[in-house]
Amino acid sequence: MATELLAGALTGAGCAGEAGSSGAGIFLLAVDVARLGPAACRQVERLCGFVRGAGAPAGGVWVPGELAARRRARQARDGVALAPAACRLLARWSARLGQRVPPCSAAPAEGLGPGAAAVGGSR
Amino acid sequence: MRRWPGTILGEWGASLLRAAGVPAPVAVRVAAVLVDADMAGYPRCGIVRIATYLSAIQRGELQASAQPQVAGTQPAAVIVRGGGGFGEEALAAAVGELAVRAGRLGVAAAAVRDAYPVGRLAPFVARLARRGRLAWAWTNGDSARPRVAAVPGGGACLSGGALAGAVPRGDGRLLLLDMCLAARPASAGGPDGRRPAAAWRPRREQGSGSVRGDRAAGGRADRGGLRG
Repeated sequence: MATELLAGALTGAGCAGEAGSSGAGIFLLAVDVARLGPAACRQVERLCGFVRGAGAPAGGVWVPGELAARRRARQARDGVALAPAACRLLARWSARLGQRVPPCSAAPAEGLGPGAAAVGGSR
Repeated sequence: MRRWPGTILGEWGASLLRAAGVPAPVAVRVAAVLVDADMAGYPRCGIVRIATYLSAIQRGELQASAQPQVAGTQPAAVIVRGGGGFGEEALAAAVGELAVRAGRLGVAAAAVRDAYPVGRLAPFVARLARRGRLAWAWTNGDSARPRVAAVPGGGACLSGGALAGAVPRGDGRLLLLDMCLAARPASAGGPDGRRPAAAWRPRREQGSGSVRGDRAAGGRADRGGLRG
């Protein structure tokens, strides 16, 4: 509901159930952290450390953004994996548009490690 | 699973967009945003969306060469109209405006409309956070195709979408929340075999999650929740 209100109603793009609405509005909000005082960033870091220190059954705790950063580093090293169906779909478009499918590498996929838990139910 | 270097994947995506009439700089920027999603582990919002964009261009639903227009500005608020073009481009324009206005006034907001839907907002709030701004963004989905149920087992009545938030951390990194509000049909599990939380699942007959698209992307990032 909050997303519908902010992105749909506030932007004027329209909400679910609204006839003729296109949807897909986007609402952004930005706050200059420096205006809130020098302690703000330190507080964020302290909170991250506190949450991480709370522990998990195995593998530790990830705060939001850390899992994605780890995946990004791994895919930068090993190459970006595409599912076979995605490859086929893009290859079909390449053929249709007369574009070349670039050669791929074939590094094995790896897991993120056992038991890591992310704050808030992250994948 | 086949793998490509991210730069090669980006060039591939950009070449497809260019071939469909997208101006070269726009094609490069859009493909880079999509590859970033693949690299972060969210393939449904990744380079496979090129196929969605190409289909939309062919149908006339996505204007390949549209330029976002900044309109209706107030000191702390800005409206960006996408002109039916890429949401990524409209968002980038909004981020540029917000970074400046929030720096000048402490806080600023932007409304983006008339742009083709984006898959993921995190890269854009991250850009703001790297400039010292705490940033949040929300997008709703296609209102004509509700995907999310309001109550467990209820009919789909909300359009789904995404939200993201980014906060600068003391060590230079970002706290980056990246959430998908689209639910998959109840019959489909996540990549780890878990089923989506009941409250997010519409009744099967009303669920309209893009199963085909999900499968093409490898079946990730399809139930509501934090991405990581």
